[in-house]
Amino acid sequence: MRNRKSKVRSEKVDVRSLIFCAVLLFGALIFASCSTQSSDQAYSSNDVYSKRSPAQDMSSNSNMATRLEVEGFDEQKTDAERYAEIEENPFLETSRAPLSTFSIDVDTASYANVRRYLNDGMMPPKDAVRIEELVNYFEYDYPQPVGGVPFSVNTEVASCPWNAKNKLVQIGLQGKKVSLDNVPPSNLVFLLDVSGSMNDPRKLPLLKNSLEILVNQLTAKDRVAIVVYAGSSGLVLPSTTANNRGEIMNALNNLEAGGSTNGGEGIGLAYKTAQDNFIRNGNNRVILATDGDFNVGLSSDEQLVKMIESKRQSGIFLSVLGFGTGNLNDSMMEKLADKGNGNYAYIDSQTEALKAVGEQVAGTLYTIAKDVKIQVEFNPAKVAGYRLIGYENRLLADKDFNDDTKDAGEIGAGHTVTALYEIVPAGQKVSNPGVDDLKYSKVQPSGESFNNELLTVKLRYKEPNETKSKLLKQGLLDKNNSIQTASNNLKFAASVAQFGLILRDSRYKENSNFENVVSLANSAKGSDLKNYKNEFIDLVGKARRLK
Amino acid sequence: MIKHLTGFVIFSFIVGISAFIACFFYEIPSSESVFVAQEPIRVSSKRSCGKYKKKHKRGALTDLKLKQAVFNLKTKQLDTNFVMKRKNQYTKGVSIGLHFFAKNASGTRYVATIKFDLIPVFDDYGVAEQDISSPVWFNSLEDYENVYVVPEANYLQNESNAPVFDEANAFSVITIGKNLD
Repeated sequence: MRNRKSKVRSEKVDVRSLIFCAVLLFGALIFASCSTQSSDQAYSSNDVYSKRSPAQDMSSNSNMATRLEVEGFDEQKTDAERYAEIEENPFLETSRAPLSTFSIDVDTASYANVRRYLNDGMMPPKDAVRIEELVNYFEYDYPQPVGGVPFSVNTEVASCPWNAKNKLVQIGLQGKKVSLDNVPPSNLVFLLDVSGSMNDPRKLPLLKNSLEILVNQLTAKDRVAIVVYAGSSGLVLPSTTANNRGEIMNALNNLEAGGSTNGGEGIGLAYKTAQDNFIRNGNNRVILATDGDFNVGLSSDEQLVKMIESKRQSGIFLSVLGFGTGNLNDSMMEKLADKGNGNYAYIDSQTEALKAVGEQVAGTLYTIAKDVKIQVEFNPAKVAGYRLIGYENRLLADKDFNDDTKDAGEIGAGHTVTALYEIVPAGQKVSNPGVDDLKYSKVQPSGESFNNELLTVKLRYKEPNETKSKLLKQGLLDKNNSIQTASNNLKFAASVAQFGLILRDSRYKENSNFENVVSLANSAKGSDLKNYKNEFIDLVGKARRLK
Repeated sequence: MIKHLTGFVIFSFIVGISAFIACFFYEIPSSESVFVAQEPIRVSSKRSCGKYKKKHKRGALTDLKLKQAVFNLKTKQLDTNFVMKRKNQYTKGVSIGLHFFAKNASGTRYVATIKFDLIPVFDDYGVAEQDISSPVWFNSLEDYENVYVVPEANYLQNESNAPVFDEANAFSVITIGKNLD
């Protein structure tokens, strides 16, 4: 009996231990398969970057977290970067919509951000690719303006390099170049994020170097103040004349990162400081430098935007400098710069700092034209359809063009703005999925009506201190030029745009490929004294290897 | 009487031949005050009067390209910026013509021609960039008309043929509107 009981007991023990081992083994298998799957998905999922709340982004973007943890970044900021979803502009039929209206944009952050991804060995998420910012990163050989107009207007048309049946139209604006000696005095407030997430070599140290470059461009007529925000905010340096460089650099160099991010309090203090030292007819500006973790509370984003808009009306503008990786809130920073009548640049290296706040500082400090809008009317006798490449978040209603109360982008001294349209010539069908053909509004191409005039470009702009806009107008003739005989400006812009289409995996990329991009860029780069165009060609090579 | 007439004819013939021969040897002096010589002035080689005049005025430019053209309909002011390339080594002046056209629903109509006589400063490559501002009086332009300009290098004002719209070389003019504001 005793033996039988012990035998039963030992059998129970054996079963339990077997079950325990089976559970352990199963758990180990599950854990191993989860680790493998997250690293495989790191570079392929685009769903991660859709428009969602920060809370959802924090929980679902583990792929970026995995890579950052491996590189030893701050574990607290392993949630993914945030990009506003971009729905590409479709082709529109001229017969239904002959007018295209949009605001200009001088931001260049997207190119620097894409470069950062490629240099780090990753393909950028497609919503991080804003094609207009890629194109606008480069300088073009547009002439200086004449006739008292603050910018020159340059138009050109040639065959489209990625779709031989279509044409490509370029509209380029060149802002008047102004020496820093002739720029009005500046009242600048640096609003600096010194929260814990900024504790990284590519963030706070690079920020300090960037601001040192900016301060070195200023003179005794300019003023600088420094406001920081982290767990709390504070005025680190009251407004002082810019020739007190020692005092300014001391204040900057003593900054250290730590704490959470309370941006709302900091921005209020920055604007108050700017208001207290306001320079009439000067450049009054808050320059926000952050990695984007700009937490003002989920219910306060609207209030923040409203505050920035109201300060803009009073003459204090806002520019944004983005830094770092891992938690870049690109969508928020672009929005703030847009609402604040400023520009948004991403600083990924010392070289970019020298460009954005060094050689192009005049553009940041001196606005030569504000609320610049473009409206293009296409000739239905020559153009069956068109597509604006980029500028998806800059579109305006047609009636907004003549409405001076509607805000639009600003052009700074020396800035260039380039917009590209892909044109479907008359006689060809415009792809418009899901929409029936019209039967009453068919337009027969007429060879005589405004013969060979493709379109008319109209622009409205305001002088910096005026509220009433001025109107410019220019026509464009189709001379049947091929892209090979086009100007270097059009060829290079087309090359960059084609690269953007490939990175976005655009449905409109047609025959785009890396070889065409490189070939076109090489044929158009010219002397490239600053090496930006050669660097672009290198980046294309990196993207090709990654893809 | 006949003798006197004959003598007069012979005398006139001799004077005329002498003047004709003198063109080979003597250069007509120009006003030095308006021309700043880039290089030492030399006496030109022997030429006939007709050939000398032709080379001096015509063919001095090999290329003329507009970079910007802005026309203000309110102030009637035209501002242009263009680039010229010269052919002759010693060019004391050039003449350019700007032919303006407007496009409307009926097609293309000729508006006006403006002539400029310039003394540009060419660089070592024979290239000069020039800004010109000038008041102009065009025929009335409609708000919806776009203006184009066809530049002509070495323009002679008395050319009898009306300018033709050369689409390949036409340049779009930016208009600052009067009635559009």
